[in-house]
Amino acid sequence: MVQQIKFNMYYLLKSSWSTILIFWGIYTGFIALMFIMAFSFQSSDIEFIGFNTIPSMIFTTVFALLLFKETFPSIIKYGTTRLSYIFSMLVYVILYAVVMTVISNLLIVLIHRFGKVLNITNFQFYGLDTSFQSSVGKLDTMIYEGMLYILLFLVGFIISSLFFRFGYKVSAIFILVIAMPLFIRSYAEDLTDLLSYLIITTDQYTAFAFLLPFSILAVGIWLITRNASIVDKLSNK
Amino acid sequence: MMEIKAVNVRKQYQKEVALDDLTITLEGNKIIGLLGKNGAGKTTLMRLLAGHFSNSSGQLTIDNKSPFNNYPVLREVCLIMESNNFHEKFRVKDILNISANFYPNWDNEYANHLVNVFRLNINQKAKTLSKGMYSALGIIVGLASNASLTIFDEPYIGLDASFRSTFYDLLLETYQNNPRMIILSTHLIDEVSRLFEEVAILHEGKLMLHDTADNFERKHLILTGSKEEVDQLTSGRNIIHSSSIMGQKTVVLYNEDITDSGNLKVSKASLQELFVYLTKEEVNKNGTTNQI
Repeated sequence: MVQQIKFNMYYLLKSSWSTILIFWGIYTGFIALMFIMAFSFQSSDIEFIGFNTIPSMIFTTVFALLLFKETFPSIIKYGTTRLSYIFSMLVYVILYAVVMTVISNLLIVLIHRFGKVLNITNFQFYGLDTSFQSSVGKLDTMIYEGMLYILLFLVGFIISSLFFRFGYKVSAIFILVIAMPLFIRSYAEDLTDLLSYLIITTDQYTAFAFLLPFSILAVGIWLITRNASIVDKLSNK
Repeated sequence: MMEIKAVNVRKQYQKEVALDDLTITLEGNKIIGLLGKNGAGKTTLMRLLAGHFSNSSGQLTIDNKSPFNNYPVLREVCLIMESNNFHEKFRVKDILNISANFYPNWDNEYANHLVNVFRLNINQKAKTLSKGMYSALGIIVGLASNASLTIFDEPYIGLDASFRSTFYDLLLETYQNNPRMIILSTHLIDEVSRLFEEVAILHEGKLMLHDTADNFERKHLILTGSKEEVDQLTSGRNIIHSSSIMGQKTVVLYNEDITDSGNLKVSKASLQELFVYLTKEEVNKNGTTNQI
């Protein structure tokens, strides 16, 4: 199994590092452009505000949706097992969350430094901002950000695997059935209570609470893929 | 020595039956031709062997083990299909590196040699390769993998005649250097028939014939002559094809002993012709299709 995971990891990293790099490249370029504009309009009343976390979270979900479709058939074609693929994916998602969190926070530090050096006051750049909650430290915020990356990645992955295996109709019906209880008031209230354990600004919050959705999603992905064909039900390729 | 055993294997895609109670045993180090018309179930069988999906029912084993989700079995299997073999984002060198990481018997020196033979640019991305060059890349991976079971499913789409001929020579060379089971599925039967030691013909998801190439050659007969004489001699025999033109009749017999052909002309068909006769949907005079 270790040998398979090593091979799968090599494949996953090889097929994804450039996409992550391109995302941060484009995003940094965009921020740099805003920075230059803020610098140029310093004398005016125009202010610029940027948020780091929202684009990277959206990217994570889309990235996970595409990554499964791209790597699952290719890796299984080489003969590794579906179980090893799931294990590799879990290792990968942890690495991914660490890398994304580090880059994201590094970018914020760099931009703040630049802002100070160039004395730019009309450009505000935020990451996951918990400064209004005095009890939340910087490390906790970073862990929280990492947990969110993992959660969104797994959500994207399970949706992608569902559509890959069962096609549009069955997947849409399945998602609808899962989402149904949200429209029932009592269930929705219970769910909101449970979700409060995952929100860093609430008193109930604990990072360990993420283990429950992570486990549910991982088991769900395993159940979907354990006997899955490598022929995509959406494209029949 | 490798043994592939399929017992009543059935594979169904929703309503479509691709393999229908297929029973076949392939064993030993040899080059096997897997033939069949489009939709006969060849690709499905090969993909089952490579663990791409599981069979709907029946038993399929490689050395008594199911290939589906079985890493120790599958690391000894290399399937090269006509398309979708590799991640299109990767460069040629990445694909070779990944393959080198996966196949335990990978021959790196040989792979580099083949890159030169097929004049591939290792820095080119798979998606920018021409059809022929993409096929060449598949051939390189298949040959250099040295997998105990190497399967080629129409591996030379877009390759010109010269490179196809190179591929056949390389296939024989690699087989001589490292004897293993090689399954080759193709529609260009005349070009490769000399390579086959054994031939299996699938038809409508079932095994139609499985025999050595020599037996295919030995067991058939083409008789040509006047309609009356041909009819008289071949009445009640296993005719797999017949045609008449201007009072002359030609019949192809399979698995029949004719000791005295009288005035009739006796000849042999190529494997490709024989394949066409066997799989052509012809209705005999008694209303049934060809039976072997």
